[in-house]
Amino acid sequence: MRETGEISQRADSYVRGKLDKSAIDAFEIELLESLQLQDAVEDALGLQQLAKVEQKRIDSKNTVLPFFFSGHSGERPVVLQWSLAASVLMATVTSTLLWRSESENSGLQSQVAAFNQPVGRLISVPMDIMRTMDSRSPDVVIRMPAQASILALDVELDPALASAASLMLSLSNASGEQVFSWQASPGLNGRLDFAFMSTTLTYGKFWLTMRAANSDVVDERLLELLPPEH
Amino acid sequence: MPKLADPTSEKLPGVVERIEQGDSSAEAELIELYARGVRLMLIKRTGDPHLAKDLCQDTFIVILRKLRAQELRQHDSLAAFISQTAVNICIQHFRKEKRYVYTPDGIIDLNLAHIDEQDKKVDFETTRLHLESVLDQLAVSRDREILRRFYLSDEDKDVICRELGLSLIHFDRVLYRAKQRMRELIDQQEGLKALLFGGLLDA
Repeated sequence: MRETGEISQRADSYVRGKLDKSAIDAFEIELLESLQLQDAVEDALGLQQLAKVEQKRIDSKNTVLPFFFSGHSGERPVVLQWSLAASVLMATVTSTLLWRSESENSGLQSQVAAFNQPVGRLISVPMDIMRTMDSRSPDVVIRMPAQASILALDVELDPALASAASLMLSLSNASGEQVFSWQASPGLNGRLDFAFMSTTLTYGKFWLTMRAANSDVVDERLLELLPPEH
Repeated sequence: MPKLADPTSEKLPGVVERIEQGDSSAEAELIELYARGVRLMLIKRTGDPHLAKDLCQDTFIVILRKLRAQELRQHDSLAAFISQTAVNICIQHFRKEKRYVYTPDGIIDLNLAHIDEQDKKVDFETTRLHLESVLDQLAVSRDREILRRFYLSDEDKDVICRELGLSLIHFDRVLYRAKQRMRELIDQQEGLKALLFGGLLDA
């Protein structure tokens, strides 16, 4: 029989990240020994997943695609920090590229086509969490193609960011100048996807900064874009 | 804090001693009784049932090795030992070094994750479809808004109630009803439970 009341509330607090570290430690030990607590946590995790699906539905209704052209993206505020040429395209993509179905891929392609952008290919690059000894070492090194392409990044989020409702993101060059900034929601799978037109980026190193909209959690990744091989 | 009923450890008298003595059936019992809790912990910490399953396996490998080596001095702190091992395994995972070098011709992955991405793709889509059907059963859009704001946007119950003109009792009722719906669907479709939380015995 499933418990309600206090157990349910404690499970909700745990799943929603409302406990401090010592409370989490104590809760998890108790969780291992209590079937009732396990039921309650399972319920809360299930509803959290449900909430993410609902958020995705809302996001998909508020189409975010043309946000550098229209200056806004549905309900999302977008700050444009860089003077962008008409060829710039940046798209947030709601499901991970690794999991993207063919129809979704073609969807992205058709979105690109809507801007009359000559695109050679879609390049998807996974960017998983890594920690190197040297924080200046790039997380990912990308050899840029000679032809215009869509460079789509599929970023594995830190768990603390993956559970956030929305993220503030920015891309800065090695000089610290912000190139893009935008807002997006993490995918159900704990990843975040977005895409650039390759022609809008110069070569060199870029910092991708990801910040939870309503917390102090920040994660940074370093990308290095190399010129095409001849 | 009062101790809850049905503590798992009470079902395992002498399990540590039996493992130390090489009793493999005791190892199986330990995994069977603790795997669900460990899995839930790891799902919470990673947000990914697939990854949680992998880390759960890693956790029990470490636990059993240490128990066989008689490294657990205080047998009554078994749950704390298991919990801390799971946390450490999770931290290690996110510290692991990975590097991808990408060229337009393909990805050279120098440190392959041991997760089958194709399986994840299928499971993710299946899970999403299942959950959308649950959402469709929550016909009142306000109920869906409550779920989203409470579980995802981190808003406090009091604030949500005030803004939506709800009583706290009504709020609790919405959550309770949603959990019931979710539970019914999970009970009807056993596959969904495995997708969300993993199988209990396949750690």
